[in-house]
Amino acid sequence: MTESGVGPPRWAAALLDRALPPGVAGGSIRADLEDEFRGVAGIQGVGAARRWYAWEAVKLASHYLLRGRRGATGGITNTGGDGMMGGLAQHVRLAARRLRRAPGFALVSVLTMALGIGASVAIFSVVDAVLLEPLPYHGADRLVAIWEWNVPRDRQKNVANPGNFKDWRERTSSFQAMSAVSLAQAVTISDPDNPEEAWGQYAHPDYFRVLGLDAALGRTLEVERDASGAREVVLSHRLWQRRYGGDPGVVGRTVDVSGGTAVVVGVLPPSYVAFGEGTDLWISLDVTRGDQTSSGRWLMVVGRLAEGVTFSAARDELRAVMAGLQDEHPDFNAGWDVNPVPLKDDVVGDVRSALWVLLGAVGLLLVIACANVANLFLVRATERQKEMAVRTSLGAGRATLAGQLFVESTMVAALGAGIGVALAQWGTSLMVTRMPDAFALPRVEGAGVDASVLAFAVGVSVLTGLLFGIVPAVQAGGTSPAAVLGAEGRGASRGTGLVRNGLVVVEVAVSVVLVAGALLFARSFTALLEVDPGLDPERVLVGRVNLSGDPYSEDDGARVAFFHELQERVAALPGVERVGGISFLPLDGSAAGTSFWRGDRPEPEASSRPVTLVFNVTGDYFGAMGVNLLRGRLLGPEDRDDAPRAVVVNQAVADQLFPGEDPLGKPLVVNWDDLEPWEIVGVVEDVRTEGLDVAPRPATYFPRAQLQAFSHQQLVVRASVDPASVAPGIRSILGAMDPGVPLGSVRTMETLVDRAAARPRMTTALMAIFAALATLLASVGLYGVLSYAVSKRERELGVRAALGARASDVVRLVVVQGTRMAALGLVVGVAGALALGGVVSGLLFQVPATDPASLAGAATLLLAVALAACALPAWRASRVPPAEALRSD
Amino acid sequence: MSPKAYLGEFEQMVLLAILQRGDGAFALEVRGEIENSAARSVSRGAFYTTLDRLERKGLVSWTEETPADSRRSAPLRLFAVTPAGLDALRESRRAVEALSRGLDDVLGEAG
Repeated sequence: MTESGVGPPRWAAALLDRALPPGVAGGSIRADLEDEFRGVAGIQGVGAARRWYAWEAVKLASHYLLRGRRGATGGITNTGGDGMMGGLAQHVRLAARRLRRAPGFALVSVLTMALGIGASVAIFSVVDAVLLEPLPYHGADRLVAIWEWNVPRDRQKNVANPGNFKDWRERTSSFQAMSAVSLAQAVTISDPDNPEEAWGQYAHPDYFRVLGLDAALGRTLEVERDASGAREVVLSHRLWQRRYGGDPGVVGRTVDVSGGTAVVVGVLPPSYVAFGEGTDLWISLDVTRGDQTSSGRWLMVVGRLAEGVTFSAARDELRAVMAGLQDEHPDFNAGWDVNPVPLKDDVVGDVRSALWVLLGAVGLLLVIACANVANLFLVRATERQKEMAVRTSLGAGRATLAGQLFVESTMVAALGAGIGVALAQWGTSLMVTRMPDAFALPRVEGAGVDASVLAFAVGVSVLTGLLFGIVPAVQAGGTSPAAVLGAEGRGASRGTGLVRNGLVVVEVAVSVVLVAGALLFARSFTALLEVDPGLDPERVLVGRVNLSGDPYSEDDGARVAFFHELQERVAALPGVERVGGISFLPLDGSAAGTSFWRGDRPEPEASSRPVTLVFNVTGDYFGAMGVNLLRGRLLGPEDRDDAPRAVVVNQAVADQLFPGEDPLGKPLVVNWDDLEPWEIVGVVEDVRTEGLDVAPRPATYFPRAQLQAFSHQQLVVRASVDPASVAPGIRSILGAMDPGVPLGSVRTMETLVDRAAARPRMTTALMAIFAALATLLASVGLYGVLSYAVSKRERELGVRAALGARASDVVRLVVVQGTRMAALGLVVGVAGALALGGVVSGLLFQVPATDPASLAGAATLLLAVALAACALPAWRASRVPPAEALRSD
Repeated sequence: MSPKAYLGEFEQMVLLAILQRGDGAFALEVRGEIENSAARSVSRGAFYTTLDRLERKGLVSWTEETPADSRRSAPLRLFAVTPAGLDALRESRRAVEALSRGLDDVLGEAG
């Protein structure tokens, strides 16, 4: 035996001992390798020789181990000539060599697969982040969002009343714990200088414990007020970074939040916070002190199921409790039920179907990519039929040949997947970081390539490798050498022709489905853009002014005066045309509402009262926002607090409460501070407040001086210049009036309108991209199949030409052959699009899923593509000189 | 084992290389012969397992030889093609010739 350090590595020799056959045979093989080792050592030195030996030993040992030593011991006869694994290693080498020898074929196949797999992986990474990943809380699957359900108006997710929340919490046993958080509202944070407008939510002190979310720094909320009477505040990761530069010393600092003292107790991690998207800070508040009469509905409730309790059991218990609350407080709770929803469904519910549709669409794109590559393989397999036949004659098993083709196709799929994953990673990170608003999806910031996305990519590449490898492989396995070799080299058998035609049908059919889908989304999106929002967003700047702290909190008159002066001074800025203010902006996601009825009719039952959105307005709001007056007058400076109570309503109110009547001068009761009637002085056009695709609801506009409801105001400024250019002027006016009042959330109205269309825009854009890629791939595939078919028929076409067929006859022959397959594909595709219509109908706006124009458009496009794909091969076929065609064998 | 079994391409090369080496058909020499004639590298794993397989099929046999180099830890194996091996080679050659008939143009270019 050799000494260590001079001879071969001991471990490698030991490995060989185990792997090689016993006895003289194995010993001799090892001795051969040692002889070679000495040769290498003599030339390259012992170190290099040891590395060489180790590597060779590992290869040799794995060869034997993978094949098994059974042959050598005479146990089992290996008739196939190739063991499974040993064959695999050889297949991989062969496949790599063969792909290197056909770089064009390899490049086109790999890129096609990269495109299909890349698109699939990108969409899957978004689906994974948004839909599949659990919420980032301890035991997140046991969390339930609990809403009130306004049955008569079918509002299934209404915020809850604090009294009802308290009773749910006390009277149910299905929940281990239950907590609540308020709607987000504008607050001013200063410590004490540097005031900033921020979004705050009042949270019950145990909110984060119930949610199962720990602080990244410090702790979460514990008590409503500490010993000194200060509230506790938890900062969002974003606010912590933006305002405090990530300073850990912020914990324990005293800040002023909308005029109240608070202590920062912690910072949350950057992960998603339920009900708190966009929220900057959470302020402790014991919300269970409200009751079922006075404080309205403003809480979002989350419960944690007790161990062993199912969701449906908890739902049943909650409903029973709510039925009791309806009896106890009929005036407040009549018509209100409870609607618990698993928290994750609640978070992702309304984007789920759009994402699944997109994933389905990329799946179809992948099918087309597979069909294209399958066809390329098929053509190559046909060309290699002779080679295969010769190899079969020389003893290669059919399984071996089929296996080789499989390895080749899987290798192409794997290379495609590698490039595709890189593309997907690059693409999604670009989209998520550069244009986060384009997605308008919750939790999308988590999209990226992780373990589950990689697993998906590997699964897809294996599956697609099998999918486009199976046809040529079966073909290769099933061809008898005699048939091929006896066929005078014409190659293409009837079988492959049939399969190729089938691929054309599949490609055209799937493309029709995708293009029809894209057209549906495009038409729906166009319809959405054509919706008149009821306002004119051009050159309008908006910004929030919040007067919640001293000295305004005690004196609403001071607020009115402040807003009035601010608007007067802003109106005097150069470039400003009109200025007004409103409590809640249209399309901004928040609003306030209450029940209302005609003052000249008896008061309706509590459960059947209609509901109106309530706004208070100042200055020239309607003029600044571009909302048209239809009848009567707008609100003006004459509507002071001591003037008769005046209200402006929208057309929806007029239609709903005063059909066929003139509402002007009629009394209206609005269930807000009191039930005294208001006189309707004007009717304005409907504004889309909740979304472009949501029909306008009744809305009532009150003079700010007469209805004191909100401490903040959205300043609305219409400019004759670029609206962003007037923001500095407004800021300096505000700073001069009160340096403690910042201008928050400065945006243009156009941004808000754009954002309202963001999600359908994203869906439409992605569908259009997928459909365009599908059409491109399908046309390339179609062209490939047809030109190949024509080249195989050159001899026949030449004979026809020789027998007197005109060029136009030959063209017709080829075109008819090509379009026959395409036509079958069109029929299948249209049927498929109709069948799949139900999947997308919920995502469409004012367009039926069976929209004939979209289907006809898709069919026409694909037919045109098919004709174009036929044209070139047909023209070429008509130009083949008969003599050359006949010589071609 | 059917005597009519076709030989694989590599099996044929191994058998022919043993014949080419004549009396000196030790494993390392046979492998060197193939690498030189076919101008390609031959993996040790594929080579030795093919030798084993040919032996199992009864197409080659070997005898032990004491090595001249005293450092060698095991005997050398001297390989020889059996009569069955010669038959198999002839059979394969006939098949290749039959298959190659009329393909001179094609195969000539490729060669």
